[in-house]
Formats: sequence, C-alpha cells, structure tokens
Amino acid sequence: MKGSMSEGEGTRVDVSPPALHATRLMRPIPAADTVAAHMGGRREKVKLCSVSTLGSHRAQVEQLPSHLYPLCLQALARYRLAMQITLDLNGDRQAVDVSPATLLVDLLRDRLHLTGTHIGCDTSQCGACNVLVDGVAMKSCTLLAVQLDGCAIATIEGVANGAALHAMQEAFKTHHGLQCGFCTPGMVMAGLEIVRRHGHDLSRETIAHGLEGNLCRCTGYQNIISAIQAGAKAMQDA
Amino acid sequence: MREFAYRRAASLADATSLFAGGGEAAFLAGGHTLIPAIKSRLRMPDTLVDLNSISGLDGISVAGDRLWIGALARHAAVADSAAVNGAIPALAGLAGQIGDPQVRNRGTIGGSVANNDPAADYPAALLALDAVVETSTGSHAVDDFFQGMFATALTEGEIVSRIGFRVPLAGAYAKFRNPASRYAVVGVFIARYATGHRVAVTGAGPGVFRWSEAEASLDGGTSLDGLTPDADGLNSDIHASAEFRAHLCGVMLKRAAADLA
Repeated sequence: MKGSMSEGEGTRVDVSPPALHATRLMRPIPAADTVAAHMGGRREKVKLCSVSTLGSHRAQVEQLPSHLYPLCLQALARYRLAMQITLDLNGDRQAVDVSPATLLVDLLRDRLHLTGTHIGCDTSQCGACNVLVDGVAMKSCTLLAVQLDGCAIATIEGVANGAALHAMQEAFKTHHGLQCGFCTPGMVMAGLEIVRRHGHDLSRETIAHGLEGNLCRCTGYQNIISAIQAGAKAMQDA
Repeated sequence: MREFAYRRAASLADATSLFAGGGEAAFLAGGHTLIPAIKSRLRMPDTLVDLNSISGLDGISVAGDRLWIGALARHAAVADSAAVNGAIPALAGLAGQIGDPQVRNRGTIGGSVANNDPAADYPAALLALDAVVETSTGSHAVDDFFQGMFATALTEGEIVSRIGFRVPLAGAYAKFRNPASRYAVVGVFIARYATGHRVAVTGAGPGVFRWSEAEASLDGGTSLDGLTPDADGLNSDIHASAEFRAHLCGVMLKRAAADLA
C-alpha cells in the first residue's frame, strides 16, 4: 500500500489496493461521504475527510489522520467491489450490498445488527457463530456472504416465536445449559442441527459427538447435553 | 480480510476462463481451508472463482470396480451416502470424522484433495484406495498426484472434477485426532485388494505417504507388533514429536488392521 503518511490538508494517497486491478468489476470512486459511510464504526472520525477523484486509481484525502489511511483505502475497495445479494433472513427477504471479503458473521453483526451470532475463535473451531443456511448448520465465520445469494439464513434471533422461547431455548433455561452465555447461541443452533440429523430421541453420546464443533469454557457441557436432550424431546411434543 | 474480486462460475470452462483473467486467482469450493488461509494472509488472491454453482459436480455413484465422488460433494454427504457406505464403509467413516458437523456440512472432497494439507484425512483414502483424480483437463493416478506439503500434480487453473476410488475387498481407517481441531495427528488407511494391501499414512510426514513395510507385513500375515516408520523426516511440532508420531503410526496401523478383519 503506497501513499504519503504525513498528516495535513491535501495529502495525496494512491488508492490502489491490490484487488482494485480488476477494474471491470468495480464501481467508480465514490464521493467522500460514501467512503465515510463505508468506514463502519469509525464513521464519526472520518467525517472531516474529503475524497475527490484524481484519475481512475487515485483519490485525494484531506484532513485525515495518517493512521486512518488504511481504513479509508479498505473502505474504498469494499465500496468499489460490492455486489448485491438477496437473503431470506429469519423469514424476511433482504437485499444487501456486500463486498466479496465480507464474512457472513460480519454482515450479520456489523451491518444487520443481529449480534446474537457471536465471534469466538474466528477460526471455525468454537461454533459460537453457528447459523442455519437453508436449514443446515454452518460456521458463519468461514462463509462469504456473497456466496449465499438466494439462501435462507436462520440466526438465534429467528428461533423464538416473538416473546415465546423455542423449545430448545426453553430447555437451556430449564436445565441451566449456560453460565456466561457466550457460546449459547451457537449451542442452540448446534442442538437444532443434532435434531435435524439424529431425530428427537437422543443419547448423551450422540449429543456429545454432535457438539464436537462447539466450545464452552464454563459449564463442563453436562447441562448443555441435558438441555439438548430435553429440548429435542420437547420439540417433538410441541 | 483483504478485499478480492468474486466471480461465480457457471461451468468448468467458465471457471477456467475466469481464473485466467483474475490476476492471482483461487478457486473456492467449501472454503474451509481457503477462507482461514485468506484471513491469516497465507493466501492473498485478487480474485476468487466460486465453483459451487457448477451443476453435476457433487454426484456419487458406483461404476464397475470404482466408486466415483464428485469434487463438490460435502463431507457430510459422503459420510451419509448409501453408495459410499455400501462400497467402501471405511471411506464413509473417514468423511464422518473430518472436523465437526458444521465443517462437514460445508467442506468438500475436491477442496481437500486439491489443497493436500499434510494433516487432511482424504489424501490417505485416495492413496490407499488407488484413486484416480479426474480434472478439467485430464486425469491423474494417485501415486503421482500428491507431491508433498500442499503440493499436487494439478497445474495452474486445473480443477478437480471427480475422484474414482478402486473398491477394495476390505478397508479401514484409524486416526489419532488433534483434540481441539480434529485433524489427523496421524491417520492410517489400509485397503485390501486381491493383489495385496495398500497402506497410506497422513498427518505424520510432510505429505501423505505409502508405508511399504506395513504393506509387506499385512501381505505376508506377519505380526505388526513394533512396526513403526523411521521418525527421521516425520513432522514435529508442539502437538507431537516425530518420535511420538512414528509410535502413533504403529498404533493406528494395528487399530486399522483390527477393523479390517
């Protein structure tokens, strides 16, 4: 990434992150406020910045602290590579613009504000980010949102029916299947996956194997297993 | 993650041409190795060419003495397949031990084979089961396909389309799993054919390899007690020393042999 790192008005930054070479895929360089909007949570810090085109691959960044240049360049790349996808999200059809490198979990949490899906390890081991894609449990930290155009995504926010907890959620409450609760959304989604694969009459061993991709650092798992066993039964009776 | 362009391929030919026009390009199947590699900047592609929309690449069928599995078949589909469980139950069992349920719902056999991670499970099955790897441009016999850590006979832009396993008289796989990530610290696959045994070891060395002493011992019906490969050249890391991996090879060999009967 090239560019002068000195601060001050009129500093010129070469806006050519590596992915930008594929020009035929890209939208034009946007106005400053659009860039600011794509800088996510740092928006308030970059309101001062203005970007104007200096040619197809250059932009001028003014009054932007130098440590924000990478963020600005990343925002530009995200904006210019963004694609529209349509998701059925917990039963609601939604069209969203996402850049290719956006992970499903980041789209859910940062853009759609569905923060029930957690990021634990970010390396597809802990299962805190489990969601259902077309009814099948997957790890949303290892899925690109652009790949899921047209898919149905179910997150923990869509499991309950309004104020009434789902039978699997109720069972976690009844059987004390959580302590700090961080892993719980992923555990509930894993429980639903275990029911999908193995039915409603589950041995503790089947459940333990089904939880191989979920880590809990509090409970020792015994109550989680009890909760899923009871939740699976309750789903059948419901 | 660092940004990249994303293209969805409609066919193998389309994928090949998108790959050629994408700067440093990579094919995306299940993404369960590629996406972590991009996150950690081990891979920095300019373009990802997504293969998931290509139809007809996830079929599973038996033809003659071969079981064919399409490259886009997910691990869960292989583990559950009636055709795989009927022809080579040990292969279905292997697929059911990869990663965890969520990983198996997404990861593909083609991706695993093309990536050739030294601790992946599938390479042991391919090598023991005398597989043929069919690709967008031709086919490879497995004995020439795996070429050490992350290296295969695939050329730039070549795409695995399906894998043909030679159905054995009997097969068995035994694996010592990393308890957190569930990859093979050591995995041993034995296949018994009328012409003799093929034994493949994954996880232990820098790449999957055949273990000729074990094959000879199984062919001759001699005791497997004390049989271990030379630790020299085996992997050594915080999870297992080379000596421990050599020991595990012997233990996994005996476990697989016991299942073979």
